[in-house]
Amino acid sequence: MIAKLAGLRRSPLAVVVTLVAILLVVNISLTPSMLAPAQLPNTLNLLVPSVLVAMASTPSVMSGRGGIDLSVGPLLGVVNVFLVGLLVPYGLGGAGTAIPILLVLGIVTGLVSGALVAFGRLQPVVVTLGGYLVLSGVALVVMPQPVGGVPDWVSYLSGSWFGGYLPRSVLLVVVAVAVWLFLKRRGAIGLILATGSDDRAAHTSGVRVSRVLCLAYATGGLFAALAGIGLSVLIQSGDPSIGKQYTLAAVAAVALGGNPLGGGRGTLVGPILGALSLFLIQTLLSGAHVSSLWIQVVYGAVLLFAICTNSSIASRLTARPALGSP
Amino acid sequence: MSVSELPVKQVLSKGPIQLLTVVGVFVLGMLIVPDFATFSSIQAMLVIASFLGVAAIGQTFVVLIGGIDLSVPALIGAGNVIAARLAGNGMPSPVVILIVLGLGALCGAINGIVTSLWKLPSLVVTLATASVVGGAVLLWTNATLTGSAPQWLTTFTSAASGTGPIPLAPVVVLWLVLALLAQLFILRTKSGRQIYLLGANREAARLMLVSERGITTVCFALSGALAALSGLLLTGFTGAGLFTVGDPYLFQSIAAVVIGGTSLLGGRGGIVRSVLGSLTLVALTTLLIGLSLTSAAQQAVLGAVIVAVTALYGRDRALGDRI
Repeated sequence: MIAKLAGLRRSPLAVVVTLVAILLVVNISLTPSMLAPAQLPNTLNLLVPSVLVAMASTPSVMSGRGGIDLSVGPLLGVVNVFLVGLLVPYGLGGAGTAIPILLVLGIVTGLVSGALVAFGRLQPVVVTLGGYLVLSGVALVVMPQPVGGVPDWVSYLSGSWFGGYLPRSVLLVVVAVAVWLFLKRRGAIGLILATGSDDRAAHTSGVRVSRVLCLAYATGGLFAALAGIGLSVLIQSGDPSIGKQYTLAAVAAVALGGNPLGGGRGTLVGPILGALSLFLIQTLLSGAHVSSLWIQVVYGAVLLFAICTNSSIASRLTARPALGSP
Repeated sequence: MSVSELPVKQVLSKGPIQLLTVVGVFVLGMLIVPDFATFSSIQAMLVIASFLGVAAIGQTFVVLIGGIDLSVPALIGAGNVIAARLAGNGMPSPVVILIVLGLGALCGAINGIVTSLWKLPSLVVTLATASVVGGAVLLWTNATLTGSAPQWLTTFTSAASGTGPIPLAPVVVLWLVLALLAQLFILRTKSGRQIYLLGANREAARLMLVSERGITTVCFALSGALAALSGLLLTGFTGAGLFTVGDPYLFQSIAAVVIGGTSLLGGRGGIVRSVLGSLTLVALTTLLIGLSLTSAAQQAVLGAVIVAVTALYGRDRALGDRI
């Protein structure tokens, strides 16, 4: 038991797992109804886009070069706006046509960023900052004002099976995780990590670094598209400006999950748990009837505290091999 | 890369291309938009560029050590609200200025200390402090427009006013003087050179007894103080304090630094580059407004242009050349 605890303490996920556990207990004791079948679909619908967008940021961060995909947030908005503002009016809103189109939209957007990073040899922050502005602008051009009217399948996804115990929006996360596991099985995630750890070493070992970078950003784009569908499920309308706020939360979730922003290491579970803990902090604050003005202050303070604790444990971890190495 | 390309590349990396970019955008504006180059229009553009430029100087310090400061908009908002509120309550201006600069530097120093002490990514640290500062300002003002600008500050930031014999608004002169001082600081002082060293190679800097904590704290404190100063100056422009006034400056301050050609990986770049970057950004925005694009289309075009401009001179070396 003690050995197990010590093992957990040394995992990079230790902090975020503990944080999620504590937050869950406090949350449930404050608002026991949160996990009740009546509330669970709403709670999870709110959570799903945050989790997916954190997953969307993960591969680009892993791929190194200071790669942070700032454009994932606006991409959420563009996917949402394309669905409600373009596909539905042109009669392409059915699940069979809309979902593939939206996913391809996400992948292509990611591919463009990846290609600019890999072949354009531009810094990822510049590329994705440009992408952030372009996508935010495009969303507003397509849909200047928020409008309602989502296709039936989006409303269907907001419901749940088994009387509230299994919300359907979770399907989106399941799809994303399945894609990740497939890529991992194929060795692609390993190549992304190798590239992020040392792209020169990866290059000399025969890794096609440019393609791997494209793959990392395209995967992020795919997850962002799923997050955009999740956002449509959540708001049940089209809103051009709501996606942007997800960008920074996604970066925070990745860092909180224990993935180094320098790339080369990390897990997918970390960012998912990071997003979950950020979400729980917010529900905790609103559940405790903290004034909405205070929420921002406390949110920032908790985030700061969490990453500091996270880092002191991570540095203890990395200190070990460094001692032995010449 | 063929040999004949080399001199061109060297010239490009030395900086005149940034100047050419400013001139290019400007000439384009003159050709396309009527009255783009009238003197009053240039005066107005310079004033708008100065608010961005002051904050971009601070951002440059942080970027040079390989960090990024996302708390700039929150501190601009805080400086703006504090200045308007205190000045509106009749507090003498020198005290207001000191308080604003002091608080900005303090918040920035906290960013720097936390970043270097725990070896954290500055992106997340500054994101968190931005949330705290932004929230505190919201609490203080109840999210309403407050205070008023003192008369002298309004004149100070008015495009129509001059500075002695110079026909430019005092705020523009202040910006350029600050930029010059900052450039001298990073080029001519020991601490300034240490900033580059820390940004270029953290390990080498440590071995050369550069205090990582000290330099990081100073850079972030400067960024905080300058962001707060930019907020204070904006009070003169907007006439009152509003906490959201800094919001557009989050990506603009980074874009100004990047367009100027300072590497976000740290160690390469300079303050004058960011001055040119700010000018390019403002001239470009004015040009796009002149083409009567909607603000959404402007944003989209601006994003594409930032990538395109950076592709001119901000490209990394090919992987094969780095082995």
